[in-house]
Amino acid sequence: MAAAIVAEGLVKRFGSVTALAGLSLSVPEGGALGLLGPDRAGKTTAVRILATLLRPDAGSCLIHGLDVLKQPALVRREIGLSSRQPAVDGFLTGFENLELLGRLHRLGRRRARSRAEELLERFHLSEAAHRPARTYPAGMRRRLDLAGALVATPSVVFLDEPTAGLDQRSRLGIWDVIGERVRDGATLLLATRHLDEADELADEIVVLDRGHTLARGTPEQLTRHIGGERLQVVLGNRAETQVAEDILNRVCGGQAVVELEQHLVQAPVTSGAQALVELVRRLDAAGIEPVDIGIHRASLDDVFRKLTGQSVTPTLAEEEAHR
Amino acid sequence: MTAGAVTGLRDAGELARRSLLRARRAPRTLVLAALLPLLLLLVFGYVLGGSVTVPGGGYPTFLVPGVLVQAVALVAGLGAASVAGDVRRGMVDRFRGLPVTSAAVLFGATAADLVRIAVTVAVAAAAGVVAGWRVHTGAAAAAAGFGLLLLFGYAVTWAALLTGLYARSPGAARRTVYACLVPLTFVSGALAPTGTMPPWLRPLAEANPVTAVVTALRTLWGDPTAGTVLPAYPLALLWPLAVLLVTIPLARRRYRRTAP
Repeated sequence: MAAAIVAEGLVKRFGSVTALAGLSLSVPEGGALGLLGPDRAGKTTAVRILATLLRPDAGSCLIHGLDVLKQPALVRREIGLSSRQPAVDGFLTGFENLELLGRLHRLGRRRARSRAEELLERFHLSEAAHRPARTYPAGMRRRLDLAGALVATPSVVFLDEPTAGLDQRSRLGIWDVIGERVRDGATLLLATRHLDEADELADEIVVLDRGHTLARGTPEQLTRHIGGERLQVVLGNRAETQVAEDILNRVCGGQAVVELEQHLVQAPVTSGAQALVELVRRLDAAGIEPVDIGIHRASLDDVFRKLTGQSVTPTLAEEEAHR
Repeated sequence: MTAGAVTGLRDAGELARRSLLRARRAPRTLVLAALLPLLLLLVFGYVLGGSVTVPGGGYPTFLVPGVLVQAVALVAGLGAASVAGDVRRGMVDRFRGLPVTSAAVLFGATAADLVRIAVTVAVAAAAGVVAGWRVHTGAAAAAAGFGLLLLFGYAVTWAALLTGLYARSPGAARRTVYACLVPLTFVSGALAPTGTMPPWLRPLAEANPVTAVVTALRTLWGDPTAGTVLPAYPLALLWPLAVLLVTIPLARRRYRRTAP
């Protein structure tokens, strides 16, 4: 398959800060690549370079064989970009926002209108179509922004943190919309700080940190490497911890890991919810009351601990824990 | 005209339409554009008017061109905050990612600002007529004067736009622009004859582009108090043209920033 996005050795420095230290990537036509990393990993810089908004200090990139640095005007006809912050004119209605973009894409008056209506329908915004966009809640603004990126039916779509600042319900809604409507055969490049988001939407992930590529692979490879979902239980004392280890080994088919000091036992699982119910039942039968019990999903912080032996910034780790 | 210029004009038209639509939805700035000249006329004409003596034609004749220029400058400055808002809210990035030239986006925005300036000019002139101000030199001179006012306003608009593109926030853009425009319009011959100012201030006021524009207007419209007129005409034209010549390429470069 031909590559829709190719980047070779992209370097970008801002003063003394190296935002990108030689990023190379390739996304096949119709593929979806996730750029995963914490703040300042270089994700946004990479997206902005590929979307013709920023000039790299070194390296080259092609979109459908078009040189991003030499033919930006042609590249802009192929791409759609949704930035971290929704670029929506709050004083214009949803319809007017999309109509304006359609006309600036030179769809013609009639086509711009019908395209706007079509997209509003597809993104469940028809009812709010004629209200000023500043009255939209965050999730709706984000959907309008995504629709705006798709006005000219781009063959390559860049999404920079498409769920930044949204609550969990809106996040699921956006994922749904991206999976079904944004993709639509287009090639996707997604920048995100959330492992679950990359896992959900991408079929290949590149992990970035401070401009360097830490790892790349399919979401399966990555989660296998760091151990996907885990069942985790904290007990009241040492004796119970040992009993719990036996139980967890039986429930999860071995592989239980004990941290005696913390009275913690954990094991990787495939169907977490079922295993959790089974574990609770057996602990109860054994007369053990756990201090804490739950399913632990691998987060970006786990990826980093595994890859670098270091945690990402504590604020991010905390945020992840709150989700 | 080439095909590129035609599509560029059409794009600029779309973006001007967007700005005007915004102005209609948030009429605050339009209301301000209409009220500001009335307020200035009221304050300087009636509150302070009695204490200012000007030779010849009386204070309305002297004051109205001054208020017109000041109001146009202050209203033109409003554009800074709106473009800074577009930068901050990612609209500029959105436009930059479209197959639309920087010229189309910036000329579109400034064209809409020109409409706002025209509102100010119309309100100020109408109020001036009510207060007893007349153009004594005929329709052609009147039109030339209004043309000069719009040219001056357009130049200030581009300077404000450039400031807005560089500013960190809409508030910072507004502060920077008005920190320049307020002294520029007050330390000039707009509201009082420069001859009445202290000797250390007079050269500043006389070298001020605002003074050149005001003096040219007074001369055009037949105010005998205009004073030394000969250099005012070329200066009144040269200043705005020079500002446009500098700010338009700078604004376009800043808009494209480090993009390919």
